Amino acid sequence: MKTLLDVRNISKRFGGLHAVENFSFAIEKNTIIGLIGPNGAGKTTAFNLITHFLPRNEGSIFFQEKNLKKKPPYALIRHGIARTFQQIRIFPELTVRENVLLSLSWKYDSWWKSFLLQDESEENATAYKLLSEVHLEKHRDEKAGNLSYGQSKLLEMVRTIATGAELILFDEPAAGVNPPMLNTVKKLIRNLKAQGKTIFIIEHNMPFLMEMAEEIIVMENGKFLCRDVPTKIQKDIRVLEAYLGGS
Amino acid sequence: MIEYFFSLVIITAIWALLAQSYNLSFGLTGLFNLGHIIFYGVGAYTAAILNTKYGWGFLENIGAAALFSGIFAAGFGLLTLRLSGHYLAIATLGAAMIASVIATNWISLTNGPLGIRGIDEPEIFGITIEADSLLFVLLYVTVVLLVNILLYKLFHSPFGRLLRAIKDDEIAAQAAGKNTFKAKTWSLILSAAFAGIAGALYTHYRLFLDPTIFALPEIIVLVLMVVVGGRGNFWGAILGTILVIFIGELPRFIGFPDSIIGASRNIMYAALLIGTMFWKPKGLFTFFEKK
Repeated sequence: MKTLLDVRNISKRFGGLHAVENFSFAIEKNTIIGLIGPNGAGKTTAFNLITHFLPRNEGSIFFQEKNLKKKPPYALIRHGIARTFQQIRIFPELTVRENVLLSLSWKYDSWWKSFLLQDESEENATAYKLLSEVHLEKHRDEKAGNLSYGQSKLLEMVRTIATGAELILFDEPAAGVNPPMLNTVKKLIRNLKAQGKTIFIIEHNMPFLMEMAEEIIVMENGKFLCRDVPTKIQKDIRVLEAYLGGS
Repeated sequence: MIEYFFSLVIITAIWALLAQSYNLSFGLTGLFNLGHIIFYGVGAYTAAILNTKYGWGFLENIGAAALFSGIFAAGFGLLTLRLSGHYLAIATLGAAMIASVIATNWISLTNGPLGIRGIDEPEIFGITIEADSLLFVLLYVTVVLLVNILLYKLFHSPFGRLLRAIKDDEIAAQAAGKNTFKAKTWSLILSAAFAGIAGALYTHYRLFLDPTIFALPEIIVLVLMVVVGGRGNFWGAILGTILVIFIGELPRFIGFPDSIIGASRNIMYAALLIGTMFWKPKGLFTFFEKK
């Protein structure tokens, strides 16, 4: 299979703390990969480094065989890497529909284009379709700030998908989500896979990840610990020691 | 009496434009920029200097003031927009003070504290329009209306939506693929260009310009107008302007002696701000919002 993302020896230090150290892995196109590890293992920091929301101290990242160097986060999205956040980030004062419209197209980002052409019927139709997938279409003209926690999470996921990115990073998509909504999340991720997208997920909900992920990468203390299929990871003595504390 | 009323309408129109331009960067985009008065001043001085030294007319000066203020804001934005929140507020407030000092001391350009005199009244198609005449009111209200229509369109365009998103959560806007620095810079440039137009209008109305245009109280009045009306709401800035100017004129109506008009005006402004924060923290326009 073709490698989509190739992370080589990335490191991040906060003062004396090595949040991520010499971390390397690769992700093939059109797979669902999980990232787990005990609290403080450096999972979210790794996400921040991959999406350039944090600058790395060392290492390089290749996406579709291109070196990403120091591109700003918004530029990475245009390259095809999008993400959600552990702490939900939506635009509470914008409507649900506007939240999605915002990441659907870049053609109106410059003020003068936005000023001259304002036909967004195509984008509106796409937004409606995407919102229907997570049952939010009824709320499309409400302020996003009025949504419940789970709904906000779904909205953030939809907004991320709407960027059209090839690689999508979800930071704990199942946390704090009730069972019916969790099924919606699963369906959404399976649809993405069916569309040929690649998904990288941080998650603490093990049954969810066991069901969804094809492979799981385990981190401990900022370092790569191991990588395998979910059934083997579950029984791996190194993983159990990392979570429960080894002797 | 009618002249007094006309002058009130003209002043309200100029301030409505200035407040609306401020509403674009401060209200809609959330840039806590306390130096907006600089762009107003740059526009005013551009018009005054071009008119007195080079004989440029009213309409050319409006264009030139917008252009100069916009270019000035581009440089200003590159220097300050890496800052945010209180840091941006302090840096831009400092810049306003510096602008005042420059206008006072660069005598060859601005004539310093003595100010620039002998500015021409607006002339349209060869007709000179006298201050505080009905024609003058019509001219100014038309210009302000036209610019406000542009601003209304901008507020409700996809670009306006992007600015609102940046105000809500800049990091999330980056995660949606937006170059937020570029959008903020453009917001400031456009906002400054419209403020520059307001400055040119001021110059051609007052026919005299001195460095007090950069004074701190002007900034406070401007913030007051936008906050009282409702930050980021198009109608809020207009409502805020009308209210603040009306309240500012009250002491005169009531017949307070001249010596205490200034102080009583400040007390009323403070009461208005506190009242708004207490009852309608999102601004008084919310009275008219559909539930």
